[in-house]
Amino acid sequence: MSKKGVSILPFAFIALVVSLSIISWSIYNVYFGSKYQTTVFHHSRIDTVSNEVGKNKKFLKQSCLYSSHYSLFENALGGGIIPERGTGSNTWICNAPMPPDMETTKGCVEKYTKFYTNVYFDNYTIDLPVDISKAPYRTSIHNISRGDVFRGAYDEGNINIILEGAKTTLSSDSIQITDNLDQSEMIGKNRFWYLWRKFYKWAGDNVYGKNICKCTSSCKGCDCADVAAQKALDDLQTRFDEYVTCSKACDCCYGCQGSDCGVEGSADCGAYCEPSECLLWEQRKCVSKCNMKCVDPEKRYPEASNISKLTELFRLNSLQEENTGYSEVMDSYMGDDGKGEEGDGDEGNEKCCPIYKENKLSAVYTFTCTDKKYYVPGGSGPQPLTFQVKAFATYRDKDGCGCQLECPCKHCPQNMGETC
Amino acid sequence: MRKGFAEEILSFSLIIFSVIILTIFFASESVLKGGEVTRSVRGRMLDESANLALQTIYDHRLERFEKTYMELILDAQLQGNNETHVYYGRGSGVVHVKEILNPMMNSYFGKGGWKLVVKNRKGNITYGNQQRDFDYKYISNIPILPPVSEKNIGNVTLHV
Repeated sequence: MSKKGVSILPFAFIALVVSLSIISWSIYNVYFGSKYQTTVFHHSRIDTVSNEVGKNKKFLKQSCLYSSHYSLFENALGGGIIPERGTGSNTWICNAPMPPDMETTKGCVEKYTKFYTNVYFDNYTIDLPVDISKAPYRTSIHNISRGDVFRGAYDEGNINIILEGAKTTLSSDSIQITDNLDQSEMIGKNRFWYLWRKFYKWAGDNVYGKNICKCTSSCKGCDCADVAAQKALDDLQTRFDEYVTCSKACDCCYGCQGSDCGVEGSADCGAYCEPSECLLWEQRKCVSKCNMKCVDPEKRYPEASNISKLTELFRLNSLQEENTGYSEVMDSYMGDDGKGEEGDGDEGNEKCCPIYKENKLSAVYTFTCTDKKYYVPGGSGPQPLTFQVKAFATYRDKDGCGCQLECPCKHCPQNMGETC
Repeated sequence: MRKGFAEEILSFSLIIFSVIILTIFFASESVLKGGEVTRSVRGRMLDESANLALQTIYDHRLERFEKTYMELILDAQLQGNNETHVYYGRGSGVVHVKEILNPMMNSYFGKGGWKLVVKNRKGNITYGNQQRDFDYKYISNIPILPPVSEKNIGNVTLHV
């Protein structure tokens, strides 16, 4: 009897086919899969770094907007510039109109826009393991022109801000991306130039100085100065629309009467002088700094750099011309010793001497106008834009307190009131 | 003859069985890979949506107020109105932040599919779905006024 064997060839063949299939598939997945994974991972990292550059740009865009608004806000509070700390706002009237030029204000606004944007840029960080190097902005431009400002083209804002010069480089392992961060943004709903333009024309008309002069010439003091300031305020208020409210505050007022002086021929009664208009009165009791400059941001913020030395100068337009004449009058008056004694001259002569009494008045007022049409960004959220300027008038009028007749012309009367 | 026939049947059965096993194996791999691919694609789509949403928050200005969504959110908190509304002056009026923000974000992620947390000097503000935990988050920095101050940078975290 013979046994028939079972053929194992089909089974071997099946096992071989299945094994080869699985092995081929595994090799294919391992080789191409890892290569694909490397590529995908590399692209993913590039995307991540690119996204960070994009985020940086968005951050700087918002920084530019905020910096521009804040720079305008601070310039408005400073009266068209940002002065040194503690000096208050800029003085736009120093007897004569002295508002800052449009280019001066524009330069100050641009300077601080750039500074603030760079502060934000400097503080920007990334949490990912990416190295970041930065080059700050070098140029800031508020694209406005003098003619357009005075035509009212920027009364509602709509100012194009351009920042140039900044770059950023992000690097991670073998990836490095450098990007230029120049940007141009538009800010609106900001009436800085509207307020500036109205104040500029108001200062040019010098209602304040003229009324203080009238007070000086009419033998009045600080009460009259307040009325004069009110007139100036009323005039200022009429120049704005219904969204702007103006107010005033007296920073300083000082008035007194100076020495008497007589006329030609009245040898008994003081020095020769003539009636005069309002002249400069140089004194130290009530002053305001004129010709203020826009302080450098690095000096304004000493946490960033050293504070510059302060220079206090008191210069008004008419100072150089009037000072000499004033001294001459004073010297000649002081030199008249013994003029008050009786018995000199013609006795029994009923000649009358006109005596002029000098009046002096100095006043500093701060005029503030707040615009409530558009609130601008601030540290405590949106707030009204406030524009603030100072007006300073210091006058003396040699015949400000009129003429008194002394008959007979024997001696000079005693000075009445406070003298200075 | 019956034995040979039985062997052939057995062989064919083994072949068919092997083919079925291989088919199931490769199909399951495809399904699993498909799941991974789906998750990956969904993640990329969420990335794109999040980037677009953040871009809209930073860039898109509301016509009447000329403010971006980001400014609205920050101003609402800084002005002291929590996250509800901001007053921009007599010329612009009041804007209710949620009424502006929520529809925009819902158009990207669906209602309840997002949460936005803004951190600034005064604390945190949260908009959107605060009850749910989200898988992805995207963080971005924001400037805060005043510029020269201790905490002049906050951040925005978008959870989706």
